[in-house]
Amino acid sequence: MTLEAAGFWGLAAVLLASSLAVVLTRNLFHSVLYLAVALIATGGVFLVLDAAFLFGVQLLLYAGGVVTIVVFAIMLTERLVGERIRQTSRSLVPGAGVAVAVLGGVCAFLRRASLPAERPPFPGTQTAALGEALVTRYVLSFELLAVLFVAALLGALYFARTDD
Amino acid sequence: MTPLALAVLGLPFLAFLLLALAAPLRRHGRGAALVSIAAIGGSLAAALRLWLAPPAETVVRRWEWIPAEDGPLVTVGLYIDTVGLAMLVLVALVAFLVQVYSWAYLEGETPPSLGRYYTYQSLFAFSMLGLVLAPNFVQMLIFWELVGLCSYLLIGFWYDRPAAARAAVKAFWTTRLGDVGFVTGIVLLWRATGTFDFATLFGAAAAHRLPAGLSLTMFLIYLGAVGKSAQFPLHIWLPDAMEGPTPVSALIHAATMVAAGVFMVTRAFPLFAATPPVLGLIAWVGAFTALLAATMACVETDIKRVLAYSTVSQLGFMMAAAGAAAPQAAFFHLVTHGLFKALLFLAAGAVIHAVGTNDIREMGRLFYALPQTGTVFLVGTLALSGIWPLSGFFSKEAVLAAVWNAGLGVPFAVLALTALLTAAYMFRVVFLAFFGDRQAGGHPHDAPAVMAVPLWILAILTVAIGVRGAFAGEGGHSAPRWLPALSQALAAAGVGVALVTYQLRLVSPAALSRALGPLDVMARRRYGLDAVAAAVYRGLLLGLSRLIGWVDRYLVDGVVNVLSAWTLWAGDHLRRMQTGRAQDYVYGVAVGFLLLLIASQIWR
Amino acid sequence: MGLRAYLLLAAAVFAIGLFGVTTRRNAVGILLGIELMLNAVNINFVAFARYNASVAGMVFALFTIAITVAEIAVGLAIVIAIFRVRKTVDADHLDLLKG
Repeated sequence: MTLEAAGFWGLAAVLLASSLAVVLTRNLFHSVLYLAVALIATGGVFLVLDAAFLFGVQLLLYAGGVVTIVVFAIMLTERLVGERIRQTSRSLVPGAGVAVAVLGGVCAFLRRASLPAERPPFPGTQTAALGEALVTRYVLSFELLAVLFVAALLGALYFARTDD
Repeated sequence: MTPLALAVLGLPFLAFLLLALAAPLRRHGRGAALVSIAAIGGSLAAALRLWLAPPAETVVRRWEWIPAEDGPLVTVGLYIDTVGLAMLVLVALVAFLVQVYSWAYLEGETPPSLGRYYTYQSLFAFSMLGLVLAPNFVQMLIFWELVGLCSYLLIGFWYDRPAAARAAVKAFWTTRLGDVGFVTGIVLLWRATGTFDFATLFGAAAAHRLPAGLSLTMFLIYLGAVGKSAQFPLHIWLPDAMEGPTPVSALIHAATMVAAGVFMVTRAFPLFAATPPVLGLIAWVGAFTALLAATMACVETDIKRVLAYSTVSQLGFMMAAAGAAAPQAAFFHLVTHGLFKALLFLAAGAVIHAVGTNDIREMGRLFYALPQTGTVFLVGTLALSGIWPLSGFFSKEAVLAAVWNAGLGVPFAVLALTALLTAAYMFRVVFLAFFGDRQAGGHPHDAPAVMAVPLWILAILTVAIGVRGAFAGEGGHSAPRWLPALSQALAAAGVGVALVTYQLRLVSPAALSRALGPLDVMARRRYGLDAVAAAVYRGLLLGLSRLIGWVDRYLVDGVVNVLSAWTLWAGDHLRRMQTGRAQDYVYGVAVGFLLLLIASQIWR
Repeated sequence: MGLRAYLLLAAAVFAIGLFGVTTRRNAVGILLGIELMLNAVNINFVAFARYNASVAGMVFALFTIAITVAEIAVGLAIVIAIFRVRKTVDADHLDLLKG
């Protein structure tokens, strides 16, 4: 088994296990921690796919920033002080049914599709190509992204402020 | 030719329009009367002019009305032949005399009311003349209905009298019943032959090109005449129609409107001739009606109702002649009857105007108080009884001859008996009202000139036609030699019976009615026909309306109510989908996505 | 192993995320499920980018990450605001749109 295959299967196992843990754990805090593991595993998958820059971004933004934000949110929305942060679920069966059905549908589709099995060679590094694309072809979206961040920042500030 | 005919038709119509639209003129009363009388006078003049110079052959003028693919579906126009011209003159003349007579008869009416009367009179004149001039069944039907409407309006002229209002509705309903058959027959005829037009139909009949199986159609068309001309069993409206003013009775219910049915049968005779069974039915029903009405006239005490039953009886005579395949005899009797019956009605009106009551039991010795009226009434009675040399003798003889020559033995016997009864009941009235020993109450005065002149004109015409018939010799009837003698004998016998019973009092009327026993009782109760008709009408109408009401409440409304109830129920249940929770909506999205997936697989 | 494996992996994670969204009661828990779904989408993008030798997929993935961050920030701010008003983040209790 090649290195790539071994890496893929290992990471896939970790990712799936931690994802299940995210949705099934009762303690919300533990859920968040498992989400962090899942996000790091995803980063690993990116690495296996030669997307080094994205691996870095994933770790920084997702596993770092997002998880931090969610932890803060949990702090602010649970009545702490001696109370266990519990998480009850609604009835699992319909949800599982729908999820499995969606998965089944997509798999059925995938089985019929003709997908390449070999990786074509990539000219240069992906990071260089990515950087170049960002400032030439996708520069407008890139700039708009900045505007989006400002908007999100302002929105979050507005919603989360206390009323004084 | 055409302009004169249009003048005959148009003048009363213009008078009607003017009076209908110009309310101040109408409310003036006398002014409206003058307009109407002038119009009908002009119409009479035009009709006379046409009649005295008739066209050699039938003139037909048509204007397209309702278009269709090949040729117009319905046309309007004029159909002018000798029979039609004679009818035009009769209608215009009687209408003119009646309108003049009404000037004095209705002097007690308020001016707006009088104006309304003359508006209706003009409309009626227009309608009747249009009926006579109609060249096809549709136009005839239109004017037929218009005439029926005028009859309703004029019978119910004194609409604040409940009896008059009821009588008007009864007349309308009964004739309408016949008209249902009429319309159905016309449509069936069109379906069979493809045309409404008289000239076309008569040409086809003459060339034997009519389709077979027209018996039902012609029977239905005859039903219209049954209603309009008061044949059994639709005769019940005519006696009650006497609630209207007497001039109206004279015009509509003696001379013109009721004659429309007979006129239609004689006009469409070529079509009836093609269906002998229907003709036979017409003859039998006519004869039966004649006898039935005559028996009821014998026991009536209201002078106008006696005359009304007499009209029904004489219409039966006319129909019998038509059914005996002698439309000329029928038409001849129509004309003479129109004149002397109008005379009798107008004279009776003069009597009522003088004495103030319709009941002949309260009249007596009026001949000496009202000599003019009495004389003309006597002339009319003699004509109606068929005494030579008055017009009635010749026309009645023509009818009897036609029925005999057609080999209809039983109808002939029936008509003969009716002739006897006719003389009897008419002279009963004469003896009770004009002679006898008891003086009538009040201070009766003879008719004023405005009323007397029309009376004299009609009386003179009655005598003149008769005398002309006597001297010109109405040959060509091939009547059996013994017929004149028989008819005179019957008339004399009738007069004798009346004389003996009511004048000389040799036989008391009470004894006579006891002798006739059950017949007398039934005749007094009008054989229960009115009650039967009322029960059927009420039963059918109420039953139908209850049924329709039930259907409307439970089926029609029920469907709507059920639909709305289901809608509400569905809404209540569907509303549970809206839980307000976002996760349920995510479910919805996921399920929708699945469905799309499946659908895309199926469509592959 | 090929592209198919990566796509199947992404589909599985997506399904798990969907399951989380529909069954979690806590609003923050629902947001975690959404995170997983977006993650799966990113895997898809990057896999396609690699196997089609195109950089567009990676650009998309980058943008997705950025937007997700913004979305999470605002979403959590809203959750905090709701908590302040209604004293609960139980999604079953947030049913003001109920018909």
